[in-house]
Amino acid sequence: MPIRDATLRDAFFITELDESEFNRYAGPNALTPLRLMTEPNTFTLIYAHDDLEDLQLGFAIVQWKNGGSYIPDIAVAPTQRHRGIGKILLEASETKILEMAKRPHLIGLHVGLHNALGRQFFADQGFKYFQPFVPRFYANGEPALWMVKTIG
Amino acid sequence: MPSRDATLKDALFIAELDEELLSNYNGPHALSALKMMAYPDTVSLIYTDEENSPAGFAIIQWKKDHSYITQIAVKPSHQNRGIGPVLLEECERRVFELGGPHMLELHVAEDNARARKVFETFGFEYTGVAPVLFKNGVKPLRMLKFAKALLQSKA
Repeated sequence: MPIRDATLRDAFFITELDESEFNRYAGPNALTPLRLMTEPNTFTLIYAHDDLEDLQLGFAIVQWKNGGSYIPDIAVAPTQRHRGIGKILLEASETKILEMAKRPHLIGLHVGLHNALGRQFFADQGFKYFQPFVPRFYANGEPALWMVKTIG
Repeated sequence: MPSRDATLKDALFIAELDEELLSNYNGPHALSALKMMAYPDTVSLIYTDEENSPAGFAIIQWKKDHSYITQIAVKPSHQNRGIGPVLLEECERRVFELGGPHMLELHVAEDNARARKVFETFGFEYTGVAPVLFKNGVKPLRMLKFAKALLQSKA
């Protein structure tokens, strides 16, 4: 499986993709994913091309905690969508979380209320809506839905 | 030696310091250092202070016989403590280890007297003006040093 831990060489790919995908929610701030990745108990996974390890196609940032983990950032390059890469990144994140937790574990994430594709994707991966939704979650004022999933 | 290879956890420090110190010359460019570090054959070094916190960094694009220090910076709060020369020495050691006797190049802004003094003292010599000006119009001066010299003098 073309999943690996992110390295310093991936920082540019992650910040560029984050900026292009989440700019409209959070405003231009290339440093946001770097801040997340610098926090303790955070791991970052890269989905790379089958034959070219340096060619990144997607990433997931996971904040691991004993009581429950959070996925603040997950994205796939626009040209590589609908190939199951997001699903593989999520599954790999869950596997790694379970290895660390060694028991059933809760994973949470936020998805934009108006992001129909994202909501459908996470619902297909077993995430359920957890009320209440968060008004003005993003810097642009859009609300987000809190979705959770139990693994293990 | 308080310098080590940079890791993903250093990316924020590098991007922020790069923006703070170098955006005056190249415009807002939080991603430029990250872009440099994504290239193959690039070595990124971090200098850590007595509390093990990052205090400076250097990025080297390594090529056979002739490498280029694309960025080197020290946190303003840690300047004038000799950290720049330590990073330069580590750059020199790394390129020599990778490729033997070696030409080391960097570009320094004509108006950056402090950095020019550090590079001159370290043995870099002016060889002309680099062809592309900084975005703010300042001339980049090209400086070269033969990496073997320092290592021999220390032997």
